Amino acid sequence: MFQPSSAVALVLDDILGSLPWILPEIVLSVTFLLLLVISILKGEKKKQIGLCLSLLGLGIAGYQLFQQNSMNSSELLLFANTYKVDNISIKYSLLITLFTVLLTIYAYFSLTKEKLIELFALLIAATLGMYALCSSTHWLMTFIAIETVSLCSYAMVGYFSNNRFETEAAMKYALFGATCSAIMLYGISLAYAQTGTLNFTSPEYLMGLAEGSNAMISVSILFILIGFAFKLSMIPVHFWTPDVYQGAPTVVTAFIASVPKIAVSIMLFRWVEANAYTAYMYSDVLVYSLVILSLASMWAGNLAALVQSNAKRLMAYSSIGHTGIIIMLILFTRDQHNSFFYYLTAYSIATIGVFIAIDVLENKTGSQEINSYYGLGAKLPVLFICFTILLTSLAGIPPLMGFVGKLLVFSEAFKVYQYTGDVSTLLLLISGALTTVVSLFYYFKIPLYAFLKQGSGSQQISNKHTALYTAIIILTIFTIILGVFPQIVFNIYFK
Amino acid sequence: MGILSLIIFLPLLGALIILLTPRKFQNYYKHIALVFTLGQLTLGGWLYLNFDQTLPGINKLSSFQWLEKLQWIRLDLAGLGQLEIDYLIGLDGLSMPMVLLSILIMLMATVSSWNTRKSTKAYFTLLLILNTAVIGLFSALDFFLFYIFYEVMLLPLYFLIGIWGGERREYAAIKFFLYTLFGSVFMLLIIVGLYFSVINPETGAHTFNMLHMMDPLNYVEHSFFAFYNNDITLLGLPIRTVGFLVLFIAFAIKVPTFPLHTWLPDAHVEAPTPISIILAGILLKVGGYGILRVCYGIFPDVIPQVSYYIGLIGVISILYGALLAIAQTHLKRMVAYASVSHMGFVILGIASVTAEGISGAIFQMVSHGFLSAGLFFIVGMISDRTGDLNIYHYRGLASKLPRTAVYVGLLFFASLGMPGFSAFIGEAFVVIGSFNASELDIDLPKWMAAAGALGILMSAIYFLWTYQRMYFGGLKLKGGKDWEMALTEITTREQVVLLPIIALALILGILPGILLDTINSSVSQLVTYIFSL
Repeated sequence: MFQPSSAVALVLDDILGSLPWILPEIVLSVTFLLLLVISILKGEKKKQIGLCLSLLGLGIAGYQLFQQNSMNSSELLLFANTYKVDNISIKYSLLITLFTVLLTIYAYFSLTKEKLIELFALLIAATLGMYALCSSTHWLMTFIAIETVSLCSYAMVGYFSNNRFETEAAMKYALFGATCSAIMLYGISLAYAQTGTLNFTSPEYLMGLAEGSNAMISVSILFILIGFAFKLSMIPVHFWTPDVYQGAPTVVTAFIASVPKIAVSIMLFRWVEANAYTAYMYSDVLVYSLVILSLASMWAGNLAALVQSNAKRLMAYSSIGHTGIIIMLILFTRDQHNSFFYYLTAYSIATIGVFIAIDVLENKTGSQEINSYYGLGAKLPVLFICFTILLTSLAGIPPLMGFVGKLLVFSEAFKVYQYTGDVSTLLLLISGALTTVVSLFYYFKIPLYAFLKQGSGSQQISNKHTALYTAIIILTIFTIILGVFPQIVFNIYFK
Repeated sequence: MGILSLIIFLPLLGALIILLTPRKFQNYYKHIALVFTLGQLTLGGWLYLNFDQTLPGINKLSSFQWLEKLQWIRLDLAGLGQLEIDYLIGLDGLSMPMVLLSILIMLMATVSSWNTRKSTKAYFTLLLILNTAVIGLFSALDFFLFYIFYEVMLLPLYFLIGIWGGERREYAAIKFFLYTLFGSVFMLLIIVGLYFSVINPETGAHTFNMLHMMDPLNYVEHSFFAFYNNDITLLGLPIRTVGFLVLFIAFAIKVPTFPLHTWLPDAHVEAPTPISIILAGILLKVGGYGILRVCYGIFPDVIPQVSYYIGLIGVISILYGALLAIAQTHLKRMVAYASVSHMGFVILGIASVTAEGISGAIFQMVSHGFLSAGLFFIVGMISDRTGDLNIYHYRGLASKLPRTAVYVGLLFFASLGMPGFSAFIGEAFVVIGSFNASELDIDLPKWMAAAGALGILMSAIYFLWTYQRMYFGGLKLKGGKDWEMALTEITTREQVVLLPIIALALILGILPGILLDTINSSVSQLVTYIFSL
């Protein structure tokens, strides 16, 4: 006998049973609302209160995650199998929290405006979206999460815009993002039409894909990929990246370039993990599309970076290049996640550090152009030594974190190649190696201008040490220590 | 911490001290650097004197000396197995001479940096970091460690050439960096491949240990670089051949051999004198050492297929380098191309796979190490005084600078392979080795030995001709009176650097046993090992 009440009860049970596992998300939601309330109040100390509240919220969320981490060993499916709390989601949420804390502090010291509190709120909301991205097993959840992160990013870019270029960047970002989201949503609806479910990990979904029309499914997969490609700024939907990176306040750029990439790549990994290893055609479509995207991003990103003269645009193309490597990780990571984790940590630390350095320099010279660093190496030696080390880490040269990261990526890819002997894997490996050489050429433009060319000496540069200075030095030290002793990161990952 | 680690990391400590010393003591940075390098030399000399020449090393871990092993990185990667990286260093007959040579050259470079004025703090710090990397590289027995030192060398050199170099220093610095990095990123892929193919027999974990990579039994069956029954091909070549070639190219860029040598003249011309000394004296040897230790050690089965081509590259480098040296009008370029030609002998000797040839190659590396350092020092002396290095802008220097002319003449004669000097021994052994190779079923035709001998003759042409053009005849200088004032006689400090070089060249030329005895057992072990497979 059908009993509606018991079905409702089951749903309620499910929801109530799920709630304790999303405590971090709840904490962040509350923090977000509180920040909004504070932002409309008047007061002298608003900025400080905002910072404290943000850090407190992130801290409690982080602590909750930490608790989950120590008690949870198996995976949990919540909210009618749409939300997965497992090792991966907890670990990466923790990583995201850590970097968001760093970025919040950075924002506090970098931007002096009253509007800062809204930025804190947006950061918290974006973090909430990223938690969801790390846990989603359902297209609807994925879409909502991606949109949460995207909307926060649009707002962050646009909210602080002072001039025409910054507004243009924000507009471009929002329009382009909206289009890509729409295409993704269309792809999702096509997949739903074929399979009757939005849970992409479920057997029904896989069955539906296997039995459905090949053309339709291929289109749907490509459309969904476009949504991811936009967020990860892969070639060919990367056009927004340089403009937004250049136009946004540097702290926002640092955010866009680092943390959302972690979350979106985990989401993409979940999809690939669930759908890419079957014998049916849709798996091939997914895998080979990603291979092509990876190759295109690596090559086009690194080659385009060669001709950039603006430091932030250069970093934009560099991040496109790194996306290529991240796709390799997504494709070749099986069961063990530590290479993935390590690479993303290395990439984020170096990227955030580089952007802080660009920010500090912009405050001193008033320019982001690389040729404005002319001869500054002698005047700001500590800053530029750290800057150079961080860039070297991004290029992947030992003994820094970036090198171990790259080695691990190559190892993962090689391990797969050993079993499959697939030419595309070899192509990816060789491209990864060659683009390293290319990347060095543009990363070293900065020390080239700072150290190798002799300055005019007319420029007056204050050598004042600020809090941001300290942050760069700390990040640099991390890059070196975690590069020489990578096991520290792994031990943290396994705890 | 053993004595070898101390030698490796002593300069790093010096670099730290320099970094922490306030700028008002900047005149003492060079003294700090000198003290640390001297300390290193003392320890290195002690090692050399206590080196047991009977222990062969190469593929037997137990017969390495001053062995140190620390567990460095242990990662449990479920899919990838246990990741095992050790801090594993030790010396055998192959690396011992290289370590001592490096320390000597570093000492020379420090002394010849005495007049450096521009940001001395950074300069000496970088020099000492480079020192650590070089000694570490020659001592490393773990491929991962080797690679790290290999790459760490690049950064200080980039800045040393790029900041303290000549007019086109930016171009030269990045060219040098990109060439080397191009070779080494592919080396990284091979290292990863080897890692997955080799397991440590004691623990069953995959390993980067180079000595484990030298034992065919440690290769996993059907793995990528599997030693036996490996039918994987890439671009039509067996995969182990590809592995050998990729590593060979990486090191051939360092040596450098034709056609990968074009970075060398640029780097040398733009680099300041001390860095030229280090480049010629140490860095080129990294290539030769790498081929012997890594290519030959890990892929010995490939050697018979490729020895002909390696020999050919060596011969072309000898002859082409010599022809280019003859054609140069810029003194530093001439010396740079002479280096290409002389390093060609090293490649030819290595290609012969005979005990004579390989011993000759190592001997040539050591001899060329300090002789080329001396040559660049002489070039630096001229450029310090007038700033012009065009050979045709000088004439009759001998009448004005008789004592300098003696030193230059001696060095030129030593470098061109005059009997009685060390270069002769090295080159003669190489020619003998390559002549004998075909009798031992090595694919190295006799005409290559003859071409090598021709190379010795050609080196006489460019050295003597240059000497004649610059030092003989009536005094005629392009810069007129100014130059005549500037061109002063050799100073005591300069003599202190040059005298030991000439003395070393003579001693090794007359008593080659000092060096040959050290490398002998290792070389025969290497040859036996290659032929046993």
